[in-house]
Amino acid sequence: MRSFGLRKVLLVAILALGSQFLADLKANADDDTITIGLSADLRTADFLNNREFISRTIMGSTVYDALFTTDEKGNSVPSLAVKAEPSADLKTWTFTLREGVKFQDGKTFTAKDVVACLDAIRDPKNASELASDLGSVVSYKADGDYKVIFTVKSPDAEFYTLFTDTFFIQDMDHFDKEHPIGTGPYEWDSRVVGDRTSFKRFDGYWRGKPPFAHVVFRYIPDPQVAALELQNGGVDMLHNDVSMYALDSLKSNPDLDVYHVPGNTLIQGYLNMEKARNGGYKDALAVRQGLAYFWNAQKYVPAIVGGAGEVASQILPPWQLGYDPDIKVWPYDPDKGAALLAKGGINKGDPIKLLVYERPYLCDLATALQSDLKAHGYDAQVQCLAPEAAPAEVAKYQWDVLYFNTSGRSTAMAMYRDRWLSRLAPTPQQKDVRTYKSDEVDALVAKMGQTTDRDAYEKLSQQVSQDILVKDVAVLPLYWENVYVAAQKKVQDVKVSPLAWYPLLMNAMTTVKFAN
Amino acid sequence: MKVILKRIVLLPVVLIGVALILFAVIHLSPTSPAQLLIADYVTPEVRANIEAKLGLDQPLPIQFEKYVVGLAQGDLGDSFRYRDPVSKLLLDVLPSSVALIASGLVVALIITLPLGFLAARFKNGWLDTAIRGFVVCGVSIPSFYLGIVLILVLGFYLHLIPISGRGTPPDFWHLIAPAIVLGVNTAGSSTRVLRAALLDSLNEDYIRAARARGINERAILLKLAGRNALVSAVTVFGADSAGMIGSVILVETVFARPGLGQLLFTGLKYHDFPLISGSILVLLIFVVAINTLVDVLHLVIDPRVRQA
Amino acid sequence: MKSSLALPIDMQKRPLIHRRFWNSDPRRRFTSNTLAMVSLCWLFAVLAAVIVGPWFSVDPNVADVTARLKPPGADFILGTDQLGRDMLARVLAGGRVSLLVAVMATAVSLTIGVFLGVVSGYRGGFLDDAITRVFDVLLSFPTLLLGIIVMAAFGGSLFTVIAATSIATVPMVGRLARAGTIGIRPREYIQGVIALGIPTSRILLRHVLPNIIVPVLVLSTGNMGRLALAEAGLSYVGAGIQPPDASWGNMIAEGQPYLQYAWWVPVIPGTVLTLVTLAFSFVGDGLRDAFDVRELVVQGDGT
Repeated sequence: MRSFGLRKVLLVAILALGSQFLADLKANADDDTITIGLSADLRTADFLNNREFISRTIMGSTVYDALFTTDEKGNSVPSLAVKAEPSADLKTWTFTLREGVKFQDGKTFTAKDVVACLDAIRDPKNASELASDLGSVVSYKADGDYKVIFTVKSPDAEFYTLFTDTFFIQDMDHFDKEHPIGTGPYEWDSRVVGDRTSFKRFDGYWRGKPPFAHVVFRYIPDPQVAALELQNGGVDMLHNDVSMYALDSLKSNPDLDVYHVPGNTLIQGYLNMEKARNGGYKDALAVRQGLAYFWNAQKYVPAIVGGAGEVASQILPPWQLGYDPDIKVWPYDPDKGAALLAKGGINKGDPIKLLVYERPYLCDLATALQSDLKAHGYDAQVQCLAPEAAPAEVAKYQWDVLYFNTSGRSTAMAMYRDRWLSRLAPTPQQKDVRTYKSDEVDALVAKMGQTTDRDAYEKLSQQVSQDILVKDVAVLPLYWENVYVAAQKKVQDVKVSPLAWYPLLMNAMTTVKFAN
Repeated sequence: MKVILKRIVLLPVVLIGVALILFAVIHLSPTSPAQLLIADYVTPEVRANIEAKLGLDQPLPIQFEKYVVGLAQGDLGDSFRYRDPVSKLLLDVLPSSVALIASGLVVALIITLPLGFLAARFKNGWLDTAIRGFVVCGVSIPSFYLGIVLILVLGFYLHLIPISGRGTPPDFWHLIAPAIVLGVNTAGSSTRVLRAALLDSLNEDYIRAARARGINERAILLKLAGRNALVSAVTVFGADSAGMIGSVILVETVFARPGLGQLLFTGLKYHDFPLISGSILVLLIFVVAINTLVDVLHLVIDPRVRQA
Repeated sequence: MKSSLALPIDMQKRPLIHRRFWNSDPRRRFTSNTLAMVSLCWLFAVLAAVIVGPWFSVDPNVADVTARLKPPGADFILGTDQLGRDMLARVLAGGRVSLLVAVMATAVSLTIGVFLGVVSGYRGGFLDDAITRVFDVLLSFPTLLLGIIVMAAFGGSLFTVIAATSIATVPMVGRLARAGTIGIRPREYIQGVIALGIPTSRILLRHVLPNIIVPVLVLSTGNMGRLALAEAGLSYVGAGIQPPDASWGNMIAEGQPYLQYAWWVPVIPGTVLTLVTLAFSFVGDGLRDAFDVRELVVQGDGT
């Protein structure tokens, strides 16, 4: 039998490996490139379809600008638009655009570009997901080169916030979804699906020369691996999903900084309003109140969630206009809870079904509640579902509590409008979890839309919260998800946004820089 | 030769069969693709537009017909999630997966050959038991788990290898750990079969004759019994490649490596039917390709097959 | 297509091995194999523990968040997990599920696989061709992919796991049964009973099955550990047993993020599962040696 020639093969392999390693080392030593680890892949570079958060973050912090962007408090601040003025009846809005802005292909940005982008979004042929966000817009037109005038269906004091960090401006004269062109700080460079998206500096950026020669977003699905990459210097910053398991070791690492702010993503339990309407409970309100007394958020949240969140008492974060300080966390009182559950038709030994969309901690929190209910004699069941299996199970409406998260909006009204307005309640085919219907809340939110007076607005908002949380007990708040960014020490001027899905401010890639 | 031809002829039939099953499974599942695909509070008109664009508004038989016709023309459809042609996405990541699978096979061979021979040489001795124990352990550690351990030990503590991702091709350093995981997971049965086949060969008459002539045991094992036994070991490789392709999904996800497995993982997360079926079909082509490669190896190693 | 198959040599000499088992050579050979006997004892111990244990341990799903991630010690023999659940109770309860997966999948694949294999090997012709092709296709399907597809249709559950692992094992068993059947069909005693006009079902059950079943059983035993293992991979992609219910596989998958910070959470179920897989494998090897079932390679399509 002939020799395998294994030795030769091995020698060649070792030589090749050695040279490759040196090449790799060189590539990593590039000081002008920031590499950011993300827990999801860029979906598409196409501005018509990047409604999803990760794609919006990647594209919005590089290639694209929107008309408005977010500050550290989550407020809308000018970006490509410098101001937005409503008419007296709040139904006509005039946006004034920034002058002297250039696209990455050298074209000057004008009102025509805004109109062209909105036209493309509304064109049914393009099937843009963003079109539904323009539902309140009746018409729009360019007025000269730097003014756009919008007409809206109903009076809306916050209309301009709709254009915050979304509805990106693309040069529609040269639209190619494989090679987007915007006005942002970095130009599109390349993309490897499932691996990375790379951008290069756009020198003519209107805010000034961007700090990095290259920006690379890397997709690292496993959060534990992502944390290790950061500690080893494989990435400069983790931008989403900093592993809470790894948090302590990241914080104690002298080479790293960990930033966090309380976010406005609310983790909460929905109570089943649909089942209540269909007569599934003897006394639905009593059941909901009863469950609320078992809702031991103050014990479970710190123990299970740790640094990942702060106990929540209501649906608006404490720092947002319209928050009601009078609404407190439900006290834990199993005796009262049991009495109310019995009044509602659920006796000891009866099943109580908790349904969970799988997300870090939710299944754990539900298990804690289950243990508590079991200890009090109820046959509590937990079902933790993968996101793809969940909608079908939810739509059966056989659960009693559904653990779910709601990502926040920058204003109280936007939050209510998104989540609680019954006219947005889903059609039967759509089957959604938000089945709360209340004419009273609808009327209040509509009124908020016409109020420019801050005190009146705050009163209305507090009334809505009272209705949803105290009167109807439609939802049990659990905690606010803290927003984390972890970065190498050399990364400076990191500012974290409370809008949880994009922890860094959308324009962060123009402010963050490396220390020398 | 006949076997190889048969396999190649059968391939399209198998692929179309699998495609049909996939179509049925995905479209009969309780969650509609549109439900997962489209953001939660999209207005009905916009939803209709999107469904029309993706062809989801048509009745199932028509969707199916379109799908099969497209498939016959090599068109795998557009990914729901990425909104790009699936064939383009798959081609993009193909080199990465090919490199991973090839190096996984190499590692498996590097483990199998010496261990198989050693185990047979010292049959029932402590070394034999240790080797058998090792290969079974290798098979019985979940690949995602072994992956994390390697990342921690080799990458994080010892700084010998990069932690995850893919370097500029050919990316040997990024391949080492994932290839070891795949190799260790695959080498189990082939090592055992090689050992068993060697022991069988040792009972043959011509070996006894050689032994009687005083040829030493090591030479007998390597030169005489080896060739026959190798045929069996190589064959088991073919059978095991299926399992290895399965591990690729886990390994690529843990190591954050772009590839077919990772695309499949993404597709599953978003019920992206064209992406799921496309990546499964290509992964199956890999299995068949490895099997065919094994057949060819057979021709090379075993003269009897060549004559047949 | 080829694969490794096990065939008993010299089957005519031992047509009725199931009788007088205790005095048989295989039994003697097996009991003198120390490694196999130790493994078998370990398996019985584990089996007894997971069947009896959960009655005596605390509720494996009850969380006590004040006692999270306690290392193994006096209070909790195997420590607690991220929710303060007793690891010992979970390992025992999880073992029930994992072994149930292994046993059920083996039983299902044996029933279906042997039936299809024997029928296709005995009948031959078109039916045989068709079944062989289906086996070929299924064999080239990784278990994980099968699991994923079944999950896409039915969601992740115990049923999904058993269905996926069974489907993956059926062709393996089926091919073995088929090869055995083809091997003994031309033998005189089979031809004899055919000539006597005995109904086919009776021939298959009484005469064919007892003669081919040994290698099939031997192979299935050795493979049982890997079935329990397959569930771990399925759990990692979300297609396995759903939390909060425990299985060894999903305990490993769920505990993976804690490897660096609380090693016992993933390592304990991982070690138990590995030891069980190892034991099944050694018992399988021991049985193979004892019954003189030879792993050999069948060329071509097994014809």
